[in-house]
Amino acid sequence: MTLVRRLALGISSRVVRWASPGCKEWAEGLEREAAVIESDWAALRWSIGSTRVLLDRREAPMTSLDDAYAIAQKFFEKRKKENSYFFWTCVVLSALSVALFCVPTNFIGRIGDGLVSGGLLFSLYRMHVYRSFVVRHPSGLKDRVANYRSELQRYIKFNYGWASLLNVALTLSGLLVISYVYSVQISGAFTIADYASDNSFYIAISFPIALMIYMNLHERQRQIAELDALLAERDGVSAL
Amino acid sequence: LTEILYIGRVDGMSMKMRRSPQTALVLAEFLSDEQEWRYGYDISRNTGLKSGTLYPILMRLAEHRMLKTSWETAETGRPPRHMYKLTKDGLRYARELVSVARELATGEPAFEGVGL
Repeated sequence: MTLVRRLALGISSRVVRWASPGCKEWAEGLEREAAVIESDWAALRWSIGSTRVLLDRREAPMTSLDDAYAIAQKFFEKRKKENSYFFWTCVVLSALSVALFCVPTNFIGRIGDGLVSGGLLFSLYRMHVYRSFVVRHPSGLKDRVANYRSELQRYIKFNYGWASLLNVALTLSGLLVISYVYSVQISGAFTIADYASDNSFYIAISFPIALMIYMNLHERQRQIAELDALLAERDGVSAL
Repeated sequence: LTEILYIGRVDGMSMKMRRSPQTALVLAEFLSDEQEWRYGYDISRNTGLKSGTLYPILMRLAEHRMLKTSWETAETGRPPRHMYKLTKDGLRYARELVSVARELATGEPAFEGVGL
């Protein structure tokens, strides 16, 4: 076996190993094709192209209502834990930011603290309303899956709706103001460009975080489409 | 308007399926032999699409229940290959999309040479 061929197969096998559960089958398909391509260089090009599958992070496919129900159960359990965790984190951070707001500082710093406190208190209120919602657990399998679908929609609305955007805007703008005030206090008067270069690390990590948030939304929307297709199949009506 | 309505009908049927020229190419390739199970590399060779372009399209088609997948029955000493075939819905969608793409393509030369 040539070095190029070995490299191609090595890439393919790593793609299979690192592919997300929902893409595993496709990654394996790509790997098998790489093995049958006669030209070593073509196999290498094929393998390099197959790494594209790694960008697609998706959960295991739902092939039946039973699958969907199993995934729904995991989703409900995870949400319960996460909601509780986020709620108490919000309680602590809100208390901290309100306490900081009471500490005398300059006017701009106060505005920053006020924005952060407002954002966190608003977030606390929203978390409380979200957690207070009583989730139904109907008896039939189809109804349970439909219930999961509506819960996914509620999750998307909570995390990606206008209220959520306002929440993030309030808290982030407050944090920006506070960090600016502290930077000025430490380094003296300086420009926005200095501020951006001082905080380049935070600016840099904000892009992958934003991408992850977007991918999560995309994955949930994909799941809803998948559930629609499953429910339509169950009704004997083609969803397409 | 008729054309927009027509494309809209294809859109509605596809649940937000992306109508790219590459997707039309892949679907046209499947339509060349509707009943045959196809291998990824063969589709790639016939359409000229690279694996990184082809597989996301196949994955999207499968996600929309337009493509079915299967593993080849293993022959001795050779690992089974992944095979693909359009479902009934996929075939219907493919015929509509490919015919729209062809109509648009045949309309295009009229704009060539205008020098805009």
